[in-house]
Amino acid sequence: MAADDETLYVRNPAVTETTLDNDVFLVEPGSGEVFYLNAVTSGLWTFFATPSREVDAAEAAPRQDVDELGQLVQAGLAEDIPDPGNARIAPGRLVHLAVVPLRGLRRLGAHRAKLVDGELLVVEPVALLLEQRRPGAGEPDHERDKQQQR
Amino acid sequence: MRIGPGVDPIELREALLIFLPRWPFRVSDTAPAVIDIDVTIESGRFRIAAINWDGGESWAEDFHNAANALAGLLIDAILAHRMAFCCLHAAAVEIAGRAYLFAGPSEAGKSTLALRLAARGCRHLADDRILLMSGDGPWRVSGLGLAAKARQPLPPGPELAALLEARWYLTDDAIAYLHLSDDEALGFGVERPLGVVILPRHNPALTFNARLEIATAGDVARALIEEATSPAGAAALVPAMSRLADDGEGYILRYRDGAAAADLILDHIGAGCTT
Repeated sequence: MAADDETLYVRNPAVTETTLDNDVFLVEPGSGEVFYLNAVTSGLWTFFATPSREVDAAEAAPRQDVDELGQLVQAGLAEDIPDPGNARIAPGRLVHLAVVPLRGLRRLGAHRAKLVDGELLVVEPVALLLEQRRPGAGEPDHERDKQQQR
Repeated sequence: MRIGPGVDPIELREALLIFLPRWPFRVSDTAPAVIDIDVTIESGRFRIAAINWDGGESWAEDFHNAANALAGLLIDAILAHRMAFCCLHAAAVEIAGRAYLFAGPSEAGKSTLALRLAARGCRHLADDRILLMSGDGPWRVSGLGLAAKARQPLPPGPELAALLEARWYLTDDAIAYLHLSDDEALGFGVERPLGVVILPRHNPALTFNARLEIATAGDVARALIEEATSPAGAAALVPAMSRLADDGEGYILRYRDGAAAADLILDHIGAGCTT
């Protein structure tokens, strides 16, 4: 994802979603790949139903999600986390943590990707989330409306 | 399929029967109405190619490898003709008239558990590739008549050893292919209603021999989706497997002892095998 704090992200409407109890499966329309979302990443997926910034997602994450986010990224990013159990991680760092699990969805199905438990994959987030640009101060409102409809 | 010049159809059929012992192959001089696969020799190698459908092609150096590649393409051709909703990488046995599926990744113990239950009197339904078909009523399961297999070294246990040693047909360093009798295995294309999905989790480090846990629908759906392919595509496969998991009965089988695991299945969720 872009480092621009003002960039808005929203769920790609072409992605199909199947929910089974607490499990969510997404199918990416272009490749037909299947993704499984755990409790944390399914919460993020729900959050991005409306256009939102990364920092908004971080601020909306409750304490227990912070802990779980820390655990999820510990495998790959432990050095960057001073204390994964500390709920008062700075928003910027939490944004980074929040983004990584969404990128690190377990890939299942179609091509029978076999993953070791806990292994994270980095996938193109644009396939699941659409990036939207917030209008600049000089842009008229109708331009913003058109962009939000993409 | 069409056999090109230089390929002995009788020898190819004999090689195919090693992997697909229950398939009704017939050699004929008359071209069939629909040709799905071409088998030819090019530059001294076997070329096995799909015709007019997206099945790809394979190359092989000898009859056995050509037959192995051809077996896979034949199964894909059946699926491409939409005779089934999806193909599952799994093993299955028949218990009390229903199909008990073992679903999971390679080396989870699916094939061996199915053979252990066959050694206890259950009829072997399928190994490696299974067709799942939907329609009115419960999902139906059909085997493809693939030869049952056991990984080398062969698993321990006197009852299993007797079954394996009397029935293995071809073996290499990794796998022994077995040919079971008509009494021991269901025939090509025979269907059974889906009964139970079992997710085996073999772990030699466990402190108990075997334990069954009720699986969540999510556990079952994930296992099925990960091991299934379907011409309908992932967008249809995922909700279908989710419905199957939600409607059906599933268990996680944690075990370190395969014999104890097979006994547990029969004692707790099987009504006993009938022939």
